Amino acid sequence: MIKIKTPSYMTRMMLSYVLLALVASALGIGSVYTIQRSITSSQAKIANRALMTRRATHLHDPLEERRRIERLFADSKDKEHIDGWNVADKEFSEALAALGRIDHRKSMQQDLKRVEVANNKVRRNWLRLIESFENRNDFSVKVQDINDEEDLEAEIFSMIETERTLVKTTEESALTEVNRTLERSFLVSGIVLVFAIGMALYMSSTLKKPLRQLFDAAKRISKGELGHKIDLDRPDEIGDLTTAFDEMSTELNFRQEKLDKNVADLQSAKDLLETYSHDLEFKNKELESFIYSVSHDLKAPLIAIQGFLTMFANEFDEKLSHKAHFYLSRVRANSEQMHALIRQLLELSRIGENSDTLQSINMQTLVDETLDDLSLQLESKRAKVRLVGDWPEIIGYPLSVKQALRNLVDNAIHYKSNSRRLEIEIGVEETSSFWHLYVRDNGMGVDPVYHKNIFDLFERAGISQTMNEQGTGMGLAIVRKIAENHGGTVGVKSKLDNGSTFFFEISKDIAKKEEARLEV
Amino acid sequence: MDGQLEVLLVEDNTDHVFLTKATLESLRERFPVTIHVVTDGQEAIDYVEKSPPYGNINTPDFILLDIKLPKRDGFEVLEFFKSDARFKTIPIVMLTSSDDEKDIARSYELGSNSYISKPTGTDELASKLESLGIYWFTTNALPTKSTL
Repeated sequence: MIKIKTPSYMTRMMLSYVLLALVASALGIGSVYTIQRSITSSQAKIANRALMTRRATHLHDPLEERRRIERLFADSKDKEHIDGWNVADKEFSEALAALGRIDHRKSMQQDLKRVEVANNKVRRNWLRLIESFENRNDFSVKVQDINDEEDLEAEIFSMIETERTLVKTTEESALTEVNRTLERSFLVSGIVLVFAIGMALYMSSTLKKPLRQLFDAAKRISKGELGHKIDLDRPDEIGDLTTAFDEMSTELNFRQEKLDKNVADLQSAKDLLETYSHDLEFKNKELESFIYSVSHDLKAPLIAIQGFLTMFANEFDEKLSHKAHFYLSRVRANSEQMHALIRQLLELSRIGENSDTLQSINMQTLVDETLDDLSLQLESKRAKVRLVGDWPEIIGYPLSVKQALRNLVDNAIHYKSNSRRLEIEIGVEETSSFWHLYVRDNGMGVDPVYHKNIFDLFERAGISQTMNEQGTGMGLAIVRKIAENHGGTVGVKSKLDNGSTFFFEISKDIAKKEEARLEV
Repeated sequence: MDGQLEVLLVEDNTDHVFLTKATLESLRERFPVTIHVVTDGQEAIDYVEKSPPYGNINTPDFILLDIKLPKRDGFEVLEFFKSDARFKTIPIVMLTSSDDEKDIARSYELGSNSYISKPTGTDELASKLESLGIYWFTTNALPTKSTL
């Protein structure tokens, strides 16, 4: 179960970066604003000073005019000039007042005051001149005191210089302020950068350790150390990841253990099965050897019975009644039936015995031998035998294969049709993994309802004992066992009164299969 | 009886002994034989080797040998005689209740001269003995009476 805890690693990281961005942006905006403002204010100040300087120069013209009129008056003594002087004086006063209105700074006002004081001196000098001219026509005071005039000019000049200096200072201070602001910005940027680097280092260091642990843990798990845990208690995504990883590791371990247990269970089941299989094989062998010895032991008394029967018949033949002959023939027939049964039981029990070794078989020779063995019976039934196909060399148990073939041909002879001459076809077909050997006849055939069980022991396919006294019900069971010993199957295709085709298969891999079987 | 063949019958079943003897008896005209019976494999070997208690007997002219015998079975006895230079010329006929191909094959492998499945009729026994007859009659130079 995964619970998202707060504040998450992602949230913290996001917040940190947003904060950093905000700080950096604020700093940038602040710096730009500061610089802009200082530049603007400096510009205003500089503009103001420039205006002042311009206006201050306006003082010169009326002053010059006044001095020109004073000189004219001194020369001509014409009263006409007094008005001109007053106009110029008024102009000067107005220019001065205008300066006073523009700049209210104390230093400026003081400068203006000094100019006014100097001007007043000049004006008093003029008034005195005028007064003395009007009252006494005295022209002893001919011109202005040149010193006062010069004082006034000096004051004006000094004022303009002061303004000029002020403009320069203002420019310099504005520049200084911009520089300072830039420096401050750089400093703060530096601090922000250091802080950002620090934060990045912190973030990466908090990531690095758990990532390393995850990497190591994943490696250990991949090397088979299932269930290995990181056990990192962190209230963020990294913590969630490691917790999920631990859970995965535990689950993997749990499943592996379950799997191991299943495999172990399966192995023990397999062992048990093998034991049973061996037991079964052993018991089967035991049963076969039991059948063998019982059959063999049954044979000895039977042979004695048959021997004495023969002697009895030979010696007392003429003395026996017709009935006695009949009884005797029944005894003989039954003892022969019993003999056949015992012989087939012996055959069945001896299939695949050590004396029959796996080897290369020339099938042509084997088929010829089989037909030779049965030649008497075949001739007596006037059977026509046809061999089909190229007879190969195969690997198998020769005695068994011969017996299987003989049993099938034997069946064809025993179950011939009463209305047709017996025809038998013996053939071999090759498939990808088997030799398919078949015996086809035109005999009485087998009802399909018996096909399923016909290869079972003592199964007679609806044929009663009286119909065929030679039949033991074991011939096809023997064929099946031989086929199975050769890794193949048996089968029949037949219809009642329409002939039969019996086949058995021999695996081409029988040598390999036997090798594998013997190794177990 | 002079001129008669000495036969050793190795058989443990008394009924079978009786029947074989009766069959041979019925062939007396063609094969005059003297029958000696032992009932297990070891006795057969002792008899032929003339070990006690068989000190004073003639070597048999041929042996009728059952397979299933007490002590040492027919195959062992057959192998013993056929691998011994002193006895290997003695014809041995396997006379047994087994008609198993494997037993027949093994018998011939071990050197038996003939093989007869019980119960045997007189005709079958006679024909088998005749087929062997050429061999032992010529080698043993028997009386002319027996050359049929």
